[in-house]
Amino acid sequence: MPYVKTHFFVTIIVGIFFNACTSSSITHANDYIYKGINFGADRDANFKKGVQDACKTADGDYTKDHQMFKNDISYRVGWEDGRLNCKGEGDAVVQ
Amino acid sequence: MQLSSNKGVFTKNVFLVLLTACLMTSSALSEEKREVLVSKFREQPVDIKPLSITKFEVKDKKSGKKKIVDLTGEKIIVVSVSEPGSEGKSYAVDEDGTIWWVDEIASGAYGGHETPSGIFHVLLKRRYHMSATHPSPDGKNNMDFEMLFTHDGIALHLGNTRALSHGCIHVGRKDVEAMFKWVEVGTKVVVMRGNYGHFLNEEIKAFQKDIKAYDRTH
Repeated sequence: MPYVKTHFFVTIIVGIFFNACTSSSITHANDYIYKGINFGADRDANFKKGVQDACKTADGDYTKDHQMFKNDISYRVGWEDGRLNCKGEGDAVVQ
Repeated sequence: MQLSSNKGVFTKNVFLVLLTACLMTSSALSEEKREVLVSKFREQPVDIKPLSITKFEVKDKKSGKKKIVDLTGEKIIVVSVSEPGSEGKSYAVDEDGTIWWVDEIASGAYGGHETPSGIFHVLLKRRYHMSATHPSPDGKNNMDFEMLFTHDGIALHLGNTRALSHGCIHVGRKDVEAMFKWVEVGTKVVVMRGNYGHFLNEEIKAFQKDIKAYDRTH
């Protein structure tokens, strides 16, 4: 019985340790950070352009490439991610 | 000891009954006040119901006739007026059907100044303007960033969002600057009663879903 208890507590402590180590706040060398926000790893150029355009939009300067938004998944998702996460002057959409 | 405990229970029960009564009275009063306020605003001859971000059902209350107006692919400003049962917000929707901006607004006051429901379009834009019918006594422009959308002078413009208007839509400075830059002559303006904000929540969920799906495949 004492063995089971010890084993239980060790499991919890190890679990907490690993959980802390895999926290999402840790950034990696290839993460795309824009305006202090981590938009994930290995983002391509179109994704980054989408994020930048959406962040401008969040500041009240509407910027969007409609052709790319319709035809390029990376740009579209980048724009959506930027619009959700960029806290612009207006901070309008995400309330 | 037993007696004082009973007394305590009794006092507690009386307090709870009084509290409940107070809450019920106040909620009944607020409901009554709300109804009075609703009745102060004049009924609109047209009822606009959003079916999606860009599609609207327009009902003529007198004839009962309904039509669907599809504004997909166009720039739209949707105004949910500041009346009971509506939101007091405006939404900027781009050609892709994305709601890209939301702001607080104040619309027309009750007693004949209600902003009319309908689907309009921007007739002209003026960066600086003073109202001809309601000029400000201090001589300062009171309709800057004007986006006129009816022939009888109703416009979206810079104004106090805490004060109901003579029929125009008051927009705060930060918001009106963003909107004015984006709006063009011809941009549709939908003025409605009721809720539109649920489409924004759906859009946010769709964005989040897209991002998750993208992360799984890239």
